[in-house]
Amino acid sequence: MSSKKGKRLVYVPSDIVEEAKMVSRGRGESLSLFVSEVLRMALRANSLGYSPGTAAEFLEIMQAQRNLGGAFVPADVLTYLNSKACEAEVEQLETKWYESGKWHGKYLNEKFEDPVQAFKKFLEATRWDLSEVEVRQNQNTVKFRCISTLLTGKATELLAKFIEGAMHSIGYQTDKSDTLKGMILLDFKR
Amino acid sequence: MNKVAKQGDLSLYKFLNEVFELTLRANKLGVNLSSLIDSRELLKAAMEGGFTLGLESLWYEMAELAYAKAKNKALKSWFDAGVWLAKRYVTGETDDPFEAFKKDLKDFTWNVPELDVTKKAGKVSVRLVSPRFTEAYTFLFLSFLEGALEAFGYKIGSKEISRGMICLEAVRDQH
Repeated sequence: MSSKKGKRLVYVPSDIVEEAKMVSRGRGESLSLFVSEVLRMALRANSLGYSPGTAAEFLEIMQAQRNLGGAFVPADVLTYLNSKACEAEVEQLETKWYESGKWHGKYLNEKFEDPVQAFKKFLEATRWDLSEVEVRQNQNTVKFRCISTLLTGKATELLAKFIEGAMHSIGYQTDKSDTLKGMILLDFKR
Repeated sequence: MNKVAKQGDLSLYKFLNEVFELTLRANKLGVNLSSLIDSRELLKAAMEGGFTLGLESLWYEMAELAYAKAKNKALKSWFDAGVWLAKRYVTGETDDPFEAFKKDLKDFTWNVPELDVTKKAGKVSVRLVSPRFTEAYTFLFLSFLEGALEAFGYKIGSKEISRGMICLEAVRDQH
């Protein structure tokens, strides 16, 4: 590494440089402008608490979420929709959540090399009502543990159905299921 | 840059390589790094605004069920959510609460292809077009908008609703 007139030289593998050249050319920018912009963004991402590795994961999850048809809904409305107050049949609601999970799992299975980890990251990034998402994965088993101080009992059960649906699409079967208000404990096996 | 690399226990060389790899990966996904920052900020705002992110189709189906079983209660729940969200801006310290609300509303409805909210001389016009909205979801979302506008001190003057389309005008309530 050398330094000259306030500029520094840093070695970067030639394959990355070639690809970066192609991308910058495609955008109609010089390589130097492209590199400066990338580094500026990296520093901003860092100030938001992202290392390049975690930023890449987050980016992929968010992109998948958009492709899947992600939408925001007021949390209070969701609580209402999940509750008995809306008078929908419990089984109907459970089926909706399960089917939605199945669809989600199918997409993750097609899109990600490790769909279980991708699903975990999806839950961490988008379900901010969960204070903990733990996934222990062995050769043929996966254990899910989700904790929330905000979820109602019904909302916990429905989220558990969603997780089951997703895991079934990924190729696992439910081995053990235990849910209580704010806590989901699910064991799956291949 | 050196400092940031050290914080992450990386050499500058390793850090820069990771940054470039991330950029190229993002490029393959058809996005750039600024969209990462936008997404992060959007999620933070949504979390603070009391929103939950999930699958659009699931929300529509659940809304259909609730609307079919207990229409008035469902409408009230959306109306109250609109009031709650608007109150957050009205009672906050933003210079222009309505503009802040409008910006966030647009961000949170990323699945809606067309949403125009204009405020002119004591009048607010909303035009929303979303072909994927079900009929029930259209009416529930209308109720949400009505709640929000009411909390901002507006009264609905006229509205035209059909599945996936909302056009409404509200005027400042003098009372």
